[in-house]
Amino acid sequence: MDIKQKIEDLASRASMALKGDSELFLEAKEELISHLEDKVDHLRHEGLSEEDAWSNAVKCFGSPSEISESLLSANLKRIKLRALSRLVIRYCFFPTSLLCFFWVLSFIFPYGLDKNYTNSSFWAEDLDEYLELSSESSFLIYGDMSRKTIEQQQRAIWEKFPGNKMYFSNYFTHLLAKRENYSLDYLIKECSFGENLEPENARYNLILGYLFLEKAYEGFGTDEEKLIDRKLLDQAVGELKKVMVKTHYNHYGLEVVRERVELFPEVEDLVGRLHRLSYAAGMILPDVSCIRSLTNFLPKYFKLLEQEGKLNEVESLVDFCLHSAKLLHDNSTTLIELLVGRSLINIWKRDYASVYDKIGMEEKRKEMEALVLAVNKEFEMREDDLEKGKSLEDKLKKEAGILVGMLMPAVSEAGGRFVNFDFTWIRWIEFIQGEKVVLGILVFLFLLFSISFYIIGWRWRFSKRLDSIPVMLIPRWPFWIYFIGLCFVLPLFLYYFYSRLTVLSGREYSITYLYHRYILEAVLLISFILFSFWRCIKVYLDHRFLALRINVPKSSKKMNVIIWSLLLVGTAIALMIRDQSEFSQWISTYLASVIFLILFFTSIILFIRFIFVKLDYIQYYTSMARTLAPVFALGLSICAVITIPYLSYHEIRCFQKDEVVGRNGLFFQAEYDMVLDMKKRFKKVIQNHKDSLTEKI
Amino acid sequence: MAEFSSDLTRSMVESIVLKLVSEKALYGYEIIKVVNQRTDGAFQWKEGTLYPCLHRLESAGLIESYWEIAENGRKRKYYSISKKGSKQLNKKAEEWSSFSLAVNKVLFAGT
Repeated sequence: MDIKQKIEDLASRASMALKGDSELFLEAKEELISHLEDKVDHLRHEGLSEEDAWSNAVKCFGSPSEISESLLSANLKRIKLRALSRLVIRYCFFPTSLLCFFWVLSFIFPYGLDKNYTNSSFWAEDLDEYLELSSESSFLIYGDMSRKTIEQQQRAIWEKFPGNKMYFSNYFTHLLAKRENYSLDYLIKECSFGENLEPENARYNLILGYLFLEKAYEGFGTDEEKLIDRKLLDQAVGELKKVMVKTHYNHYGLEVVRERVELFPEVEDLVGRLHRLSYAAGMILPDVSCIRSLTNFLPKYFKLLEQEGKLNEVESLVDFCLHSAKLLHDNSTTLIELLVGRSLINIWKRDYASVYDKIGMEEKRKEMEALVLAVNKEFEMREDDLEKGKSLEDKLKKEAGILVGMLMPAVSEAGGRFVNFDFTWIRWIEFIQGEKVVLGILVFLFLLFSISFYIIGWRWRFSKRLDSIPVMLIPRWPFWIYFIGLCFVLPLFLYYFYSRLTVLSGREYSITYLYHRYILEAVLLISFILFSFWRCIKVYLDHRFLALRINVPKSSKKMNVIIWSLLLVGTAIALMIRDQSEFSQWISTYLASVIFLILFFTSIILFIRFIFVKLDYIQYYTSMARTLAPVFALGLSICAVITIPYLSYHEIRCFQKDEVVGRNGLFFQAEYDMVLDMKKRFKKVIQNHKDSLTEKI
Repeated sequence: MAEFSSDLTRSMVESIVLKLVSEKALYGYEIIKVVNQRTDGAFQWKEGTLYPCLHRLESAGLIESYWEIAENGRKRKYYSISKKGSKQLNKKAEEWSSFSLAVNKVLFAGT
């Protein structure tokens, strides 16, 4: 036996009593080996032979069994504490991380994975349960749920209160939304009933006019439309003429929703608010499309009359477009209705104005043109609202969120001056939704890694090297502070600092405008946290393993340099992306894919190396896996604990800031402000126009 | 060289180790050498005396340890004093000063 082996053997015997705690055992053994080697070297330096030096060192060393017992007695308290810690880490971290994982899921999907709160069928079924509605309230909201279709369910409410105009109108709105499922005769019958119920409301005449036209023409509203029943066409025109003499129009959308929201108990929590908003989002607006079809149709009808030599008959309908615009405008409660109403004015300019001259009403045309000019002037873009060389659409896409994004065509057509409205909070809700998804991916990856390491931790039991006992390291508390600070607090703090500073993050753009940049950001954030987590723990573990004389395989420095460089380059590029150009999209997509693929394949290679490890390194890899399994589980929990409270706070603040209107309000404040402002300005323009006409007379 | 009783030695080992590692970080073999030098060979500690004491102190949080690789490639576990250890050292030093004074007064009274 050579001297090294003898030293190792003696040190091993002197620390044998600590074998129950493999980390302490290996550490004590290494310390004694180092001591004995120093001693032997010293004695040899004094002139003794190797054998004499060894004998002398052993003599000075004393009894290994006594040392072993003394070491055990000195470490007993620590051993017990560490055993308890290991027990807690091994059996508590993973269940805790699972709980945190479900916590994250319930934070991202507050209504369960299979449900989406924007889906109207969801709230119909589940809102009752959530808000504990009485059967009476439930009936007044959902109608008779035993019926198959929504429109028939809603009809049941009116059937219970047959004299109620609002309930009938509500049923008819639902019926109109599903009109493709019903015959025109049935729809005409129901609409005529509505007209009898409420003769002063122009709504039913408008819809009847539209329904008669659908029946009079084959393929109405398409390029191949063909008149098949002239009598019905006249009937439709008759209904539109009735509209021209009625000043009252109401589809009761707002009243119905208000009454229903009144039925909901007061809710202050976020989920309740979301329900209300989803409810408002579910408000259907079928009249809008009918009115637009009618205003687009009438110029064709005027041409028909011109061919038939009856152009004088158009006089009573020539103002139809502007009259409808005013009716729709006066009753608008949502931005979309208002914008459609505004777009009718431009249809008038395009298709109706020339008709006035043909029937000798030049003066009236001039008056109307002056009105349209005044309206358009009021709502046209102000030059200072636009940056040089940017279109309105670009400006809106940047400044507004999904709400305006959806309304983009209408907004563009109306040429609205909406760029100054503050949609910040709506936009932030979109970003928070995105951040929730990133959090979900991150904790899922942590869970996946943790499970993989738990599996690999058992690898040693099936190996032929049962003598090389794996170690589950318990890092000391300074390490945990350094580790949590460097791997979680610092990247998250930097991310929140960066993302909440508009100058850096470009969050003045809506999420759809620079989605490629945000995908790159998400990949970078996930990669930074996972990679720094891995590097930090690996550096610590390798250092410890070396101290404990566990074989540590050489790691590839090149790969680390490549990954860090990619992450830094990616961050620099993300900071620079400010537009939607093809290059920006290409570079961000390319970088995000490269970073993702490198991390993905590195993880796969790592996993394979852990599983198909060389027996020389079995102790290292198994120790690594045993230590990392709970550490990754802890990482998941820390991620959830740090991120959820902040995101939750920010989300609630956004909803509170973007207060819905009134006690039982329906809309985002920004949208409602916009509607009110536009209506006020529209009324003012009309009043100014009337005043100027009166002055002339 | 005078032989000291094991009880007397054991009661003082912890204070001496605390004092030495408070001056600079030392490893086990070095501590034995320094003690030997400073006591002119009066204290010749064995491994069985020093290492359990170091572990006891570390376990109690009075000293901290870290591994370093020496120039000759040998791994060494260095010990340094913690804040808690510094307080304990001051307390022990005061205690010993009063104790030895009192004992001397009795043992060497009238000499």
